[in-house]
Amino acid sequence: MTGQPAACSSVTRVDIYPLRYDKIKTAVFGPISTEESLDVTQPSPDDSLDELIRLSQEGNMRAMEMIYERFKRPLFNLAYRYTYDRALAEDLLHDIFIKIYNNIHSLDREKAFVGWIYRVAINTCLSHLRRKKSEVQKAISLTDMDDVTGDVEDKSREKILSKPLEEAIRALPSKLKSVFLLHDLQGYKHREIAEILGWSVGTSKSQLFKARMKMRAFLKGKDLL
Amino acid sequence: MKCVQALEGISDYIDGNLQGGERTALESHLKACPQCRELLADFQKIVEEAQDLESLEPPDSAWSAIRRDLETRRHAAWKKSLLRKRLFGFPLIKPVAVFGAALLLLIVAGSLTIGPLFRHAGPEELTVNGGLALTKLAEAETHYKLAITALNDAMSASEKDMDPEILQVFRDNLQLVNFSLEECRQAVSRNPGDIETRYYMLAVYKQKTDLLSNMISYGTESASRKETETTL
Repeated sequence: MTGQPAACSSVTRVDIYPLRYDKIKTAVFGPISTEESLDVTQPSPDDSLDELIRLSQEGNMRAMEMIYERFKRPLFNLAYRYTYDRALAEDLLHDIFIKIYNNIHSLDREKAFVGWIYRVAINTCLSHLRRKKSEVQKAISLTDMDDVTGDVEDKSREKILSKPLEEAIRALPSKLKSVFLLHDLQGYKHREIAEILGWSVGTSKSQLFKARMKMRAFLKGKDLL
Repeated sequence: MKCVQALEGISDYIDGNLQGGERTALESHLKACPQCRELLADFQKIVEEAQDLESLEPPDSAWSAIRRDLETRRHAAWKKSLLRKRLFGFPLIKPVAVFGAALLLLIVAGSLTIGPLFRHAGPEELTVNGGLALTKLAEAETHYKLAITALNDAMSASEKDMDPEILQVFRDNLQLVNFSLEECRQAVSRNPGDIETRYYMLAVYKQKTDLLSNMISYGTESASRKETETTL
């Protein structure tokens, strides 16, 4: 026996002082960015979502970036199809992720996380549309307003996606749009959509049916079906 | 099956959620009902086209902007929390009061632990911006410096009993603390009248003394363990 502690051979900086150092640095310079951080717990893209959530809850910016990488595309597409404005969708994506990271400490399960971020995303988009609706209401007569959000999108929006189906999606009321986007574009099951939107599975199914019917009517009205 | 019932099942049928008898009944109805067949075909077309819609990518700059925003918010929150720091669980009325209490505690503790090494602040220190707080901070720094000198001596004596790998980790971390300390010193020299900067520097001094104390404790434990193993 050499008399060395059993743990010595496997000791790393992580085992002893990195947290202490981070505390020091935080005390002195405030919260630190990824490049500055000497955190050796660097997440990898292969890490489970649970692990990335845990690291994000500890303030690990790299883990946050990896969560962003995983969800940026579906959430950006979701935001885009609520607004049909790329710049606005980018702003909404920004707000969505700020909200996610500001509140990520309140989560503890991967399963809950996915539903939660979609809830955050949809609520952020709908809040934006409601604000916009409020602005529009100040400018025009109430009698000209019919749909909750359908008419409040920016009329000067870009025409980058000109497929008839995009026009049909744009014309959907917000609730029907939510279920259609989640189910038919993003591939979520009714059980998952029910969790995201706070509905029953039956409501999710009936709303999807209504959404498809409305789109069918829209496309038929343009002789596209 | 009537059309009303068929309509209820068509979405599920497209999505593959209709099984067994319900599926068979719907298929029988579809064979006989051109309107429902048409609806099914339209729905299928909508679903297929939806799956083929363009998937957009946010610009590469989006994450940088989010990250900058997050860091700004975190920094602001940290500054806010610093001003609201509590001492022994009691809320402090003003940050100045926190600082004063912490300083008083530091001076008393410093006097008790390294009394013989106590050195009064020199006249040049007393005149730093003429502030009592700055003077006391300078005194506290002196105490920390003396404590660190003593701890370094104790550390040198303990190093021989430590595992080399752990010792290396300790040295690495000590280097990082020293780096922070140097940055603080430079910040203080740039702005000698800023109490907050000096307060940060003291925080690093405290962390350095903690680090050294912990390593000395570890060295003592290692020595004790070696002694026990030798005896056995």
